[in-house]
Amino acid sequence: MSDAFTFLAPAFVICLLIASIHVYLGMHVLVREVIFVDLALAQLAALGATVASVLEFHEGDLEVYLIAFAFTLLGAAIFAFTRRARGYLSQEAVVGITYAVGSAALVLLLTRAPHGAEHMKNVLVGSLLLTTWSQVWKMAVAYLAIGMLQILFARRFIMISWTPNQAEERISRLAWWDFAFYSLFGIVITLSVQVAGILLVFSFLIVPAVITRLFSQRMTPRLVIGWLISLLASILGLAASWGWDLPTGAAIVVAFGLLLVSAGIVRAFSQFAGPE
Amino acid sequence: MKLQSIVSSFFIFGMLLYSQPALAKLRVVTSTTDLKALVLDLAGDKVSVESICKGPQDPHHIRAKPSYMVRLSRADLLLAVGLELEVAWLPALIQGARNPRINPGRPGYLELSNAVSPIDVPVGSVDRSQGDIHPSGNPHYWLDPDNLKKMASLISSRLTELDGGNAGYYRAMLSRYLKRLDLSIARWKKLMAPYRGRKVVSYHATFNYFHRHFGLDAIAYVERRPGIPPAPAHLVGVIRKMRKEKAAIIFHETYYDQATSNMVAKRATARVLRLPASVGADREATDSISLIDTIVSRFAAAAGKSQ
Repeated sequence: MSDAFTFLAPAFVICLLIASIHVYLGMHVLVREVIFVDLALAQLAALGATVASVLEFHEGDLEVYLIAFAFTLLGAAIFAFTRRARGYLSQEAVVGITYAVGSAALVLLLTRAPHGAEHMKNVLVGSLLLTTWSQVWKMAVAYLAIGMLQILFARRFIMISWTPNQAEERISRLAWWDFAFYSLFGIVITLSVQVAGILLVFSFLIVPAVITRLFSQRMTPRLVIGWLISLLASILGLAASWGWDLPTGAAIVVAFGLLLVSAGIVRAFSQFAGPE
Repeated sequence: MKLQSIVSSFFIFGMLLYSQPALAKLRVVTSTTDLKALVLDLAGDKVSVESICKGPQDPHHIRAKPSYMVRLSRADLLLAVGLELEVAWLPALIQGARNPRINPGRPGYLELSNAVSPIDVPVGSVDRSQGDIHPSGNPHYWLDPDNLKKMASLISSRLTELDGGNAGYYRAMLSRYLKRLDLSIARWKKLMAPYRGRKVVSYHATFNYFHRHFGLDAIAYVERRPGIPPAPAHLVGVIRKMRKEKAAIIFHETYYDQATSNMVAKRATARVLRLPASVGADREATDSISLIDTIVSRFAAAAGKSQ
């Protein structure tokens, strides 16, 4: 028993950290209808890391992070400024194109990179089980800072996401605030994907937001329930991973899926009429 | 509470699966099946040994599972291939296992690359057409039988160091293994003698030590970089070269997709030999000697036909 706690504790704490901010951001992403924006931004960060490697910087160099971050900002700019045209241009299409072109550019670059596919793997396929305490600390500090910025600008960001027409009237330099939102989002995603992998990050972002949307429209109850769902999925996934010796991240993703199905069944049979 | 009972039953189930009875035997964990097979040959049942990578898996990429950490946390000796073969997963597993006995630098950690002289070490500017680049050299050295001798001796001496009580047994097992290996080497030499200088192609650089030992001339690789679709120009170059230099056999590792090799073979009128690169990757490759046996006999059969 104590073995389980020693080996899984860092992974568990990382799950809680990821849940803290992803459950909230997932509600934004869902209402903005840009579900795959995390995939697109993570792909751009991977592209940036590979560009850095072609420029002969080594893993762990500051330049690698800076170049990866610059590419994430590029993605944020694309999403923020094309949103101005959302009347005739679907955001989802822009996200999809960014992902596809980013992935293809990565493949082209990898034939020039000295370490080929390794870089792509390092950036996109984190291994939750191999999380170390020093990673936990770094992430805690970064997420605390980003979380405070999110709280500081919460009113603006929420207005832009939920009532874009109202935001257009009331907020000056709206595109820049959108850019700020996607930039912060990009940093959050880049950090979490490196530790947990793209599948797990996507699940933490989208599944709690979808489940809670079945039962409520209000922010605070959705946040609290979303966190509880993430906690439950993490515990179930880690326990199954330990008990049946499964890859940890994939086990948590499947646990999220099972929770969504259960929630859907509960919603279908529940007595009270839904939010609408 | 219901949830609690579900969770705790998961944990109890896990404990039942992974709690082992206390054994006085030396507990050895190896990164690959090739090293495990050597330990079995050299220590018999005096130690318990498990391999993290399974035979059919590509040792470059392994997904971490909880049991790997548990095994490492209890190990007395960890044997690794080294030369960056396991760099993507083993260091993090060692860190996660929190077992000071097997930290690099301690007697409980042994990289077998220390026993051999690596080939394909990049010098100066690296020629990128040469495929995957391992900065310290090609890590697939267990496919050269001369290296197996050196590896066996190093493993045996480390076992003796950690478990002096069985020193006599380890010495006897080592000389038995070396004798068996010498007989096989002589047999292989005879079988392969007609094909010395034969030009071949391989998918990944896995078989370079094998080629060097038996005097085969590897003229190209089908793949340029692992995981990247090969560019058409590269493949055309490989096909032309194979036709011009009359290379009729492609060595293909069991854990890579065979579609590209098949295409190249068809255009160059060559044959693809699907070969195990590790113990357990093929039913016939059950230990270090039968692994090389399998490669030798399949190659000799194919090369004999294409003469």
